[in-house]
Amino acid sequence: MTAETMTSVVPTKYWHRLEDGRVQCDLCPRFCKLHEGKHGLCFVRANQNGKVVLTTYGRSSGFCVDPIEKKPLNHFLPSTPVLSFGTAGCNLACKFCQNWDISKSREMDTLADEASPEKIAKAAKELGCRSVAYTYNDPVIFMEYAIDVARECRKHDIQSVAVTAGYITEEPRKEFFEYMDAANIDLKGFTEEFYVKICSGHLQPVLDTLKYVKHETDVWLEITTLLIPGLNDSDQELEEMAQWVVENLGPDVPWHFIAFYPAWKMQEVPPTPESTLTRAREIAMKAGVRYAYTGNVSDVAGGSTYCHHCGKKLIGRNAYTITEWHLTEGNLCEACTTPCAGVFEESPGTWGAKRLPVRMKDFIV
Amino acid sequence: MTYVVTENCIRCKYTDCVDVCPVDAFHEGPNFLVINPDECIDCDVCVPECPVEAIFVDADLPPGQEKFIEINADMARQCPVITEKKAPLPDADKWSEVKEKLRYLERCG
Repeated sequence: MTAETMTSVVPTKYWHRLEDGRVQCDLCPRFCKLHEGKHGLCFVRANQNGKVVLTTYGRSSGFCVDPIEKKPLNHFLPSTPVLSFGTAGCNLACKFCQNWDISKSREMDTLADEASPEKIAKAAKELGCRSVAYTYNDPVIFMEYAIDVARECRKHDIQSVAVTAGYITEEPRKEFFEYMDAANIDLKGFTEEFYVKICSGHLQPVLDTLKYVKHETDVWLEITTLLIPGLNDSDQELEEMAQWVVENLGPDVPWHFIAFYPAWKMQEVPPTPESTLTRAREIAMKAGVRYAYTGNVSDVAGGSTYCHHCGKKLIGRNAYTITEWHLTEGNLCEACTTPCAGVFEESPGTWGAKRLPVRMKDFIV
Repeated sequence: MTYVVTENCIRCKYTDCVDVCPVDAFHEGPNFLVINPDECIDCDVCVPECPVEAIFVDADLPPGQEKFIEINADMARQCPVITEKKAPLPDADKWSEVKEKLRYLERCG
């Protein structure tokens, strides 16, 4: 299928008909119930002719080559380039959304770039990328497209990375993660109230996704928590969250704490101070998390990887650039030979902190 | 099944719900908002927005509020769609405390 002949409307599997004549989308725990012609909260799945379809297959809001650390993934092929893209829409409605221009877009103009899965995989190969990331908006809502891209990528030995809030039901969760090689999943807070009032979702399905990915799949998992002053950053909430992470996911899942900047419907809350990120990282490590990071601020200590056994700095980072590398035989600490959890090769990539926007129409398949 | 705006909204009309509705299902009466049952997708996103907790799913209405199912459906046919948040009614905060407001409900047209 080429971009020229590709349709952006494709059938989906996870829905059923209701007695009142509507169809219920069963992809995510929101379970939107759609009259003929209506779309769900995500904007991209709709009832057409009595069936739920995805309306944005093959349409993207932009492509960019980034360092993998920007996803963020710190333990997955460090310093390699990843071809990132997103579509439009989202199945949550976080008031603090940092990508709201994409996630809450109702305009098809957002989806200006057209690309078939084959084209994306070949472009990634040509650009020297080791992976493709489904990101910017939540890929679970465009899973049919993401899965087809991932299938093509596997043919070219390109890995697939999901950046997601994990708000998905059981059956599609299994199918989606079968095609992923790594994932960064948000744990946005640790109270039901935060998920309900701030994100318009629920906490438990996210916890279920985290446990599923960690224990039932081979997907490399890292977690991100965006800390918002006064809303999800109390010592108590962070301690409870850290305890849950260690008890349910184990000590080896890297955890990124990132700063909020005023955005979308949360303009009155101040940006997160760096000290909050540092405090969260300390709470996580005290609870037993071996690899906790402060993200999107300049913090060499909080951005580097240390051996959990002897404390040696294994990977030094300054922003998205690797400054030191002290792993041997792939993943062993140079000093004490304790393994570091993750997907590592003999040496890191050389992409550095570069950001390269890409136009798909420049690539000919 | 649909979501329904109930009595607490009367003479308040905060409109926070309107701002988040993904399908423009809200219609605006003179002193009350309603949800169009033919547009609502039961996505639940409006419920936590309402400062006076006036929105419920029809299957789980507080006792005495059942008549609002019909009121929402009727007024959705008569009143214009509202898609953007606006200032609440002038005495909204005062009226938010008042119960038994059905007698004050004003219809369109």
